[in-house]
Amino acid sequence: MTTLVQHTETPDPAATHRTLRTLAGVEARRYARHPLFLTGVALMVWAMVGMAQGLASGTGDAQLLLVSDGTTVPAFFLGVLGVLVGHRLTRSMARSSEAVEASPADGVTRTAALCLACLVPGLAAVVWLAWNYVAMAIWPGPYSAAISSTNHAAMLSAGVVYAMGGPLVGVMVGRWTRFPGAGLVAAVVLVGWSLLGTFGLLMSASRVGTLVHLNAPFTTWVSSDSPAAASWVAGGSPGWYLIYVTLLCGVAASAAMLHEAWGAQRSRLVRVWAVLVGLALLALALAAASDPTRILLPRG
Amino acid sequence: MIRVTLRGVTWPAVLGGSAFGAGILAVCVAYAAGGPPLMYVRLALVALVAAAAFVLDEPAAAAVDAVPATRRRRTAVRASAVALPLAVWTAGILALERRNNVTAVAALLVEGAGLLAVAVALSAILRLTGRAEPGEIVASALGASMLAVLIFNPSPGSVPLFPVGDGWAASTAIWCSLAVTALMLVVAVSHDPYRRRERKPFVLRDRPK
Repeated sequence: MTTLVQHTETPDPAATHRTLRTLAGVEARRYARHPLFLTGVALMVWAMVGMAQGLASGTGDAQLLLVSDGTTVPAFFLGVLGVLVGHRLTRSMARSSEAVEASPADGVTRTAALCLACLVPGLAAVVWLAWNYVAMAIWPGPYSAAISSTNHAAMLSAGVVYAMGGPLVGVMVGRWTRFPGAGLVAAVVLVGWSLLGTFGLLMSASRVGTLVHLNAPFTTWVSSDSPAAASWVAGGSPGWYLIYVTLLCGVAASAAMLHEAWGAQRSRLVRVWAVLVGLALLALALAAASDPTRILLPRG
Repeated sequence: MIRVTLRGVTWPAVLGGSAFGAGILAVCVAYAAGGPPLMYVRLALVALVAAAAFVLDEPAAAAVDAVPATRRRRTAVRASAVALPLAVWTAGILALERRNNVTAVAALLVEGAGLLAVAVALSAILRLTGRAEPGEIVASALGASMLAVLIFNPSPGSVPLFPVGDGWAASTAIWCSLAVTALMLVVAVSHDPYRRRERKPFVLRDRPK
């Protein structure tokens, strides 16, 4: 006679952490070797060289690039391309689900490992951020007096968050959807949402305009009324915006893990997700509630 | 044969991409009174191009390659599914023109047709290398490239792939030639893999007497 015994013992947290660390290492290596990530890094290096040449020759508004393109480059080359990388890595794991499910790690741990692998593009973006600061030290721009160092740091640091946010959205979409091309659809949605945010820059300086501008998952702070006109920095709080996009990353990661969670773990993750959504909305409100006055940048 | 081959097309991707593109185009038409929102119109094109990239996906290629119908013939039938994203694009551009007559209809139609042809050609090339389902890779690569060009908006002196103000004539010429090249490539690379080389017939040499 066979006796069935239900295994009710809770897993050892240390063993779970060890498994997560090992899996995260494997996923990080897979991420770092992905052709699309390597292409993004190569293009970022190319942009770095191009910007350095512009700054060294002092042509046009090259110094403004450090404020405007300081986040656009990692946002696209690591973030938008990262949506596709994250999605493909997640789906490739789903294709071999029979083998993966036999492993000792549960679905939440595997998804958490994928989310931790998104630190790889974050690290690449940190290198880009460091290069921005080196470039600013070598070629100081006239904007230095117009934007406070704290706000400037928050504006540029958002690039690191964009670089991790895109892949996290890719993991989330890969977990929740099964139709082919979902990764590209997610990338198009993110780009479309970011473009909608630029309508806030076309509106007059107001808190509503700032809210329209800052609700997007990616934003540029420098704009101008026409190509010939002087540039200005949009209103709102870069610090609270940075917190907002960071919380959006948390929302994406918890939503991705939610797909595989069951029972008490699921209800705990739902609570975490709801809290993160609430905090993100609060951070967005605080970012938009800040002074909407636009700061005119002196010409180089 | 045609019905069976068409049934093998990855319709969820083709229909999904076309529907997504149609949705974006519908919003563009609704807000086109002040001028066609070309950036969003081209975002719709990204979705349609992704849909077109999936038409040559053949998960059962190993089995299908053995049937009497040649790959070139199957490709011709499958490529007819591109008519769906192309119809969505044409309808969207014509609707934009009705709403706002400054829309460069002919140039945008050629641009769309050219990109859809390039998507199919890239899928055909990848399929020749042994990938039975090249759609996901082509959609990702081509879509990401399109998004890069749209976002970074190359300098006015560069090739006008997606013009906004000037450069429509040059863009039409580029997309026209790319479409023709893509079509020729699709025909060229759609031969059956096992008919790649003409083997010399094996002849037994006469034994020396």
